[in-house]
Amino acid sequence: MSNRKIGVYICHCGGNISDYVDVEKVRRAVEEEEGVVVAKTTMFACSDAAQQEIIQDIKEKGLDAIVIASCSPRLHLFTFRAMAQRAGLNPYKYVQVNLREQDSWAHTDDPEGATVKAINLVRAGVARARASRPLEPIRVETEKRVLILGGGISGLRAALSLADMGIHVFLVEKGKEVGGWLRKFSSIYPSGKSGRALVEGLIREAKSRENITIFTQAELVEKRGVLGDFEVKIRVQGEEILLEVGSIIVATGFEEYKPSQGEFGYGHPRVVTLSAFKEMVEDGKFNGHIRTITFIYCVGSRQAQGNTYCSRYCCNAALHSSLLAYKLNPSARQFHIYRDIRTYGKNELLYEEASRLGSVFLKFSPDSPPEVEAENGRVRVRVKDLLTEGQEVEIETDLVVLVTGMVPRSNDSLNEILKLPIGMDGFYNEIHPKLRPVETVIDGVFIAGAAQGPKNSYEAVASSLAAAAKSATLLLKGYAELEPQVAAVDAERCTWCGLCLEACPYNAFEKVKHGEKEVARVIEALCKGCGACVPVCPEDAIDVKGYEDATIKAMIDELLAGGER
Amino acid sequence: MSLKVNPTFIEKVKKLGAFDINACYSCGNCTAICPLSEGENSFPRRMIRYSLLGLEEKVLQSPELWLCYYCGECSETCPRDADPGGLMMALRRYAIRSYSPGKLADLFYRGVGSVFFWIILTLLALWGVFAFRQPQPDLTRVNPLSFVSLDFLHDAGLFLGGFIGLAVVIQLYTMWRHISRGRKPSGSWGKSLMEVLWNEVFLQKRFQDCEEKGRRIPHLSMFWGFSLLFIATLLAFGQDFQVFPPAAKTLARVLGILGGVGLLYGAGYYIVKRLSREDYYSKYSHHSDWIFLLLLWLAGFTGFLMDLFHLLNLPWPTYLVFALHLAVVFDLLVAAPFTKFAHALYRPMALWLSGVYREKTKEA
Repeated sequence: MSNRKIGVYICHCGGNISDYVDVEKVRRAVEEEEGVVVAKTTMFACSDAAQQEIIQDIKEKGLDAIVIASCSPRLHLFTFRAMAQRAGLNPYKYVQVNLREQDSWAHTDDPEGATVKAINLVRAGVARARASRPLEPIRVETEKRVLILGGGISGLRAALSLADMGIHVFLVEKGKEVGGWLRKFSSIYPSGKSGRALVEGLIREAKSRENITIFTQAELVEKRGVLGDFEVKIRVQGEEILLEVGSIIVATGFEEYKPSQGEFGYGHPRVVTLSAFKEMVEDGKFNGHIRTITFIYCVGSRQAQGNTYCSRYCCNAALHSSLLAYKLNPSARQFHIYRDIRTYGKNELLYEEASRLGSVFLKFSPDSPPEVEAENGRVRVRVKDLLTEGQEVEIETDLVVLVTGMVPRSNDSLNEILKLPIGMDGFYNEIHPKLRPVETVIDGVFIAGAAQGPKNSYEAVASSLAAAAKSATLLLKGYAELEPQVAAVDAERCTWCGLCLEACPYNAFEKVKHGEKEVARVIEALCKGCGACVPVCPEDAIDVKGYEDATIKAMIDELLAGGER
Repeated sequence: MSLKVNPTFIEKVKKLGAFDINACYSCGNCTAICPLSEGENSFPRRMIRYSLLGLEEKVLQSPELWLCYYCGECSETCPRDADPGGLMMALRRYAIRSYSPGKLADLFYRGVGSVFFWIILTLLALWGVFAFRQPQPDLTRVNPLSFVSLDFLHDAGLFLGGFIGLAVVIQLYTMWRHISRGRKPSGSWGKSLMEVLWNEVFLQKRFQDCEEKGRRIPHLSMFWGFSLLFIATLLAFGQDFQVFPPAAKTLARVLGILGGVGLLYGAGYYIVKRLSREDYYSKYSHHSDWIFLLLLWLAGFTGFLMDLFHLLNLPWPTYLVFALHLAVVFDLLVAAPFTKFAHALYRPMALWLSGVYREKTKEA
């Protein structure tokens, strides 16, 4: 007989559950279960009143585990963990059973079956509650230092922001100088302000701060340790330096798409990429000889094979350059061959202005991209213009500008070290694009700027400030708390065969002495609780806390035991 | 077949009135709102694209230019204030120039230069009248034929008629060549012509489709006024001008009076409208619009003034106004194929051809 005191709460979810599941029947079926001392139904378990009632039960009846059978844990796991904590109950002694997504919503055609399934699910939950043990979060002391990789506008801005909060920053730049792409440009959209002046201001500011150390011609060569306490090795102009930092911000930026030889005539001196054109315009190499300019958009972006994404900055940048060219030569004739003009937000004004200055826009279908015929001094562009009923037209032009998009940097050695997840597009992946946009699955490693995907400068800065803020919240507290549901090794059984270390994607095992023998030990801060080590252990010496083999077996037994009894 | 883009085309057209057309972003609201654009005939958006890309031949091939009545609904609807109606008008001016032999019409569509040309034409006409006038006009009793001889009127009339006739034939042929290119006739020539004459020329029903319906009656009045005067002149021509006494009870005289009144009303109405600039169509006036209206009105006015002096038996005033009347009519007619007047030719012709070449054959 169990000496546990378990409370079970079955939620109507207003009808979302109770319309299909007979919750009263479920309650009756589980109230006599071993260890259950309270079994109730409730209209909305997540409501304040219901939570108060549960807290009262915990306190008055001395419950030492609870089961709430309601919705998906994705929605309310943390709600009820917090509630348990308020009631003085260890949050890991609370079990969530998903009666809504996994039962009532899925079986609207079969209320009886749904009710039987609900009974089984709740009984499995009770079995898990019986096996639950208190767990404490893993606490890691944090270093108040941050490593930023990449010295473009994102890295610089994040560095200043962290320095302002009293956190020391090591800014590591691969190139000879910091400043990144913006350093190249004297006029950037939408305002036309100088990109160079902008980053030079940031660099001056960064250099004047005592708590920012800039390393140029430097790269990360090794990373060890955990969130809050990383040990990183950087190579600066041949010399290796060891640093201890609490978090890492990856702001390594992007590269411009480089067309292949012959792609839209690329290789001919009169066919240039967007950045080359921008430099031409800014250096005054753009002169009266160039009477006609033809822009071809989406080069290297939105392809059926290859880069499927939109690079989002290029329409704006191309139109901004077009306006600069009009300033130098107002009578220049400009043609824009595009797929879709995406001058989102305030940048729409660029499109409008270029159009009013006389730019002619032609739209091509992805099925029949424009053709560039470049021979000797003559360059001709042929395109079927969708805006003119697909009529094929030929433009004789002095210059073709390939509006090239952004591609991820080839950071192979860095990727090897950081093991950051990389998306289909080759850019670094965040955990959640909306809710956790700068965090990665590697705790303590953040991404910022165009390393994450195509961004313009102000979007890059927004994300770099977010990464700085997330780093600071982590480090300023002085410690971090990690999920305790991690693997644990039974040292008595372990014989150190090393299979667990091989199976672990996070290098979370180390070899330690246990009395006479060598055994494996979990580095808890590194472990994600994925469980990859559990089945490979020949001695059955590993369990994931909260998901122990015995617990899972007990749950399966309940699920298989069948409905009413 | 790919067509060459020609950026200079739109620059030429812009000088004729399409000042804002670059703002167009191809939304197609203009075509959607246009009460006259239907089926195969898609305008004004198609014309805007042809113009921006400089596909001149496509523009000249399009009967659509002449199907537009310039009501301005497209321009009022345009979200970018690109004034598509203004472009259609400018393209018609461009077409009048392009269809004319040797680009004669260019003389009338320049800036200040064309005003000088009009003055020269008028002086030429006055010089002709005075150089060939009778040496001893009747000063006791008004007799216009004693001032300008019947022979002179006859010869000048035949010369003018021949010149205009030739220009009209050449121009309509040119237009037909352009519009029929790459197309095969599918409608009936005769039936289409009858429909155009009845609905579009005699009754001008198309105006009914425009929101601003007030334009139709004055336009009809102007059209019929001029036509009746023209018929009256032809009749008078055949009767050796035995029509001059204002009291003469001849058919020519009756038609002349009716026509004159219609012309004065119609042209006067439009002059007042263009001065007030209230409606879209009267808001922007090219000098070619003003000269055309003024000449029409003056032709009617000088005619009646001459009759008035005739009735009052004032020989010299009558003769001088007669000279002026001849000069005005000369200006109007000699320039007719090359000025705004030519729309009276091109519009029915385009409607006719559009009825005949209904389905566009696809280009190889």
